[in-house]
Amino acid sequence: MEETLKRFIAAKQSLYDNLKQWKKASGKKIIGCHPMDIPEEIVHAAGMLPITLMGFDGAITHATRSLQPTIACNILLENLEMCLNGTLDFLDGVIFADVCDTIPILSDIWLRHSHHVLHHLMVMPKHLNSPSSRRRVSEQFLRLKAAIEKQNNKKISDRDLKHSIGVYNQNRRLLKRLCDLRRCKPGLLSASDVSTVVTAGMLMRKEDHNQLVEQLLLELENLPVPTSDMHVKLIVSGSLCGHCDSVLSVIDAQGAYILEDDLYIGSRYFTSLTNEYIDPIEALAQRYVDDIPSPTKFFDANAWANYISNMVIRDKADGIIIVMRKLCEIHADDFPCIQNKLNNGGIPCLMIEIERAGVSEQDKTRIQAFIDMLGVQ
Amino acid sequence: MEIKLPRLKAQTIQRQLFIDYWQELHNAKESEKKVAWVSGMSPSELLSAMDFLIIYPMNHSATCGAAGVATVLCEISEQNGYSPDLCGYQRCDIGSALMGEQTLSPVRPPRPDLMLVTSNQQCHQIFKWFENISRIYDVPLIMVDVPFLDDTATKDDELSALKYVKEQLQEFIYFLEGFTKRRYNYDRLQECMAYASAAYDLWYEGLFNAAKNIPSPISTFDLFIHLGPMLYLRSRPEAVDYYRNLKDEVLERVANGQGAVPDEKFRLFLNGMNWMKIPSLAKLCASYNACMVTGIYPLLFTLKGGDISRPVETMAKSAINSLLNRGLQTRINAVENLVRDFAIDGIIAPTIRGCKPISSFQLETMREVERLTGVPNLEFETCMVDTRYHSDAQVEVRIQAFMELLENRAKK
Repeated sequence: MEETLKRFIAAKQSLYDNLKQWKKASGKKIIGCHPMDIPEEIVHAAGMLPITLMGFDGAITHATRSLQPTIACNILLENLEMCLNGTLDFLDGVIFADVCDTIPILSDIWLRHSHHVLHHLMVMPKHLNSPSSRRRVSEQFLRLKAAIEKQNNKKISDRDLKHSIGVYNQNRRLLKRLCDLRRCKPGLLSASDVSTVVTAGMLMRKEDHNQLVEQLLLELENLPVPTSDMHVKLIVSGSLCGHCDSVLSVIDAQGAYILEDDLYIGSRYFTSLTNEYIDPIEALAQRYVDDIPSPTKFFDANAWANYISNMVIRDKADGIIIVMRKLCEIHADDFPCIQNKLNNGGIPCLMIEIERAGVSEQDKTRIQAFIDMLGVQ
Repeated sequence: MEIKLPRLKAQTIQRQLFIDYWQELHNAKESEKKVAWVSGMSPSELLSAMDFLIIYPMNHSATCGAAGVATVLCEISEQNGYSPDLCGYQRCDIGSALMGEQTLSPVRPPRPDLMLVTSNQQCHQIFKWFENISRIYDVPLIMVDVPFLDDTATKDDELSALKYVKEQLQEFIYFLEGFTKRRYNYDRLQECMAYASAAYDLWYEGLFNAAKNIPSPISTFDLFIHLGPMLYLRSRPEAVDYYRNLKDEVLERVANGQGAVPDEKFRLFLNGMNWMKIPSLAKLCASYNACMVTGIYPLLFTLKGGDISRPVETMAKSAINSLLNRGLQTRINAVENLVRDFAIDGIIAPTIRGCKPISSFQLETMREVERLTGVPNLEFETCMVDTRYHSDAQVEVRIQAFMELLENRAKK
């Protein structure tokens, strides 16, 4: 298991070096997808490799000339920095979806300072409350498809799209099995391990990732439940658009384990499957509409609060940690409703704000104290 | 020495108009009229045509800011879980709603029967803000999504956006029929739009464009203050009368060569939104013989004229063509044109904490406009209404340094 995990770690840590080598060897195109809500299957069906842009740890020296650090979250600033410092020059294109206030602006700034052959902003409906808004989802997916076809001078067939949907669905099923193992065999996989596996999948071919995850599952499913004194059961929610490894490592170190999550680099990425038996664009649109609640979509004000609360109750978790990225206004705006719901249900909740430097020492102490408190109850 | 800027007489008339309007709002229940809370760039005429009285929560927050209670209201919302990084207007308005009957708001807005929000200012926060308020009051919330038209948008994208907005406006009209149990009054809608359009034309020519004169007869402070009737009374003849009188008064100043700032030496542009310190900023600039003559914000709250016989299409077009609904290049072009048309010497470009749709464009826009026009800009951080995130002392020092820069440029 350790050897297999190392391959995921290597993929995650190499960030783009592996990808540049792959591109050189294969001659294929790589498209950067800015979080969240990009239908990667359409890119995959065009024979290109979609990867997720998830920021980086290096110095930010260019991006703050274009976006204020008091306005843009760390993911946007870090991705813009990579655009401006040349790290992402190897990409053949970038795709954005306007999931928050700053991404449309980021897209236009990116356009001014880069030379990617494909540059596309998906303008998704702000709500899903009417027939016209649901129709618009399909229109935007078709628009993306048309933009890619025009760039490649080649149509994407329904057959290719259905095949890609199948590949991605398989990936989702495998990752779901991994999370089920995390819940059923506490101590076998740490929260950080799962995050690493999911992150690696965002930086490699889905076919290759599927093989690796299958391998890992085979190894894990044969292992017994380790003896451990992990008895604090948590739900972790939030961390939109990026990872929260600094929080997960504190949870791991404190001996709690995660039953379920809706993290972006977590279950949010793979919970919902796409219908493989209907028109593929309609299927992708249906998945977008019916996916787990997201603050990027205004469908039902209480939907996300109910979803999170139900996770805690259904899984009999001891408590929930909500990870909010600083300056993520869509999450910050939904948090009071979520907090009320959890408080009314008597569910212990801790909100942790993360930013570029990860979690602060003070917040590490708060997480530790929260888990200790749950352990005593 | 405290600078006193000459007030337009119309300001006194406006005060009475507002007192009367807010009285009408507070009597809404007795007069069996419904109240709608509406986002600032929404087609409120749709509601006025069905006799709704309109409140703009953004304007309400600005009023709280002017009254000095906004910071406390922001703190109330934060005590209830709202992040201090969120828009100050939102935190203030939500704080007021959470206080209910005990609100510190000087106008004590009556609870809504219905809420309408549109996204043509490209602000997810305003959707969430209205969602949160609608939850507090348990009232229906109508969302009209106006798709952003970025720098890659094509003609087909515009047509697709227009079609989508028209569909939603029509869906909203059907909803209103069900909600009010009355057939929709399209004749009245055209009447409302005619008043709004006429008011806009008078405002644009009589106030906004008048600032092209040297010296400018008005300042940005006047532009903001006299926006009020455009928001609250836009569907009524009172707005037309108001702006007709205002235009006459401003033209008289032009004829007399009277400037808003005595001995105007520098002309400034405010590239930002309404915020609590506009009056003091106008006076501070005036102490350097600088007049803030114009800005982007006032242009956003108006209904440009169009074919009133096709009201839904005209409103949809107005929504998608709003400057905040357009990409970076469109904004750069707009600011560049205004800088040239109004003979601007310097741009004040505050970063408004929590306001991403305006602040996020600021750095790129200012850099490019300076490259194209040579006009320098001044940037500093502030907040819409929350005084904890504004430093008068810092702004004064920055303005002083900026004015020295402009002085030196003028000497060369």
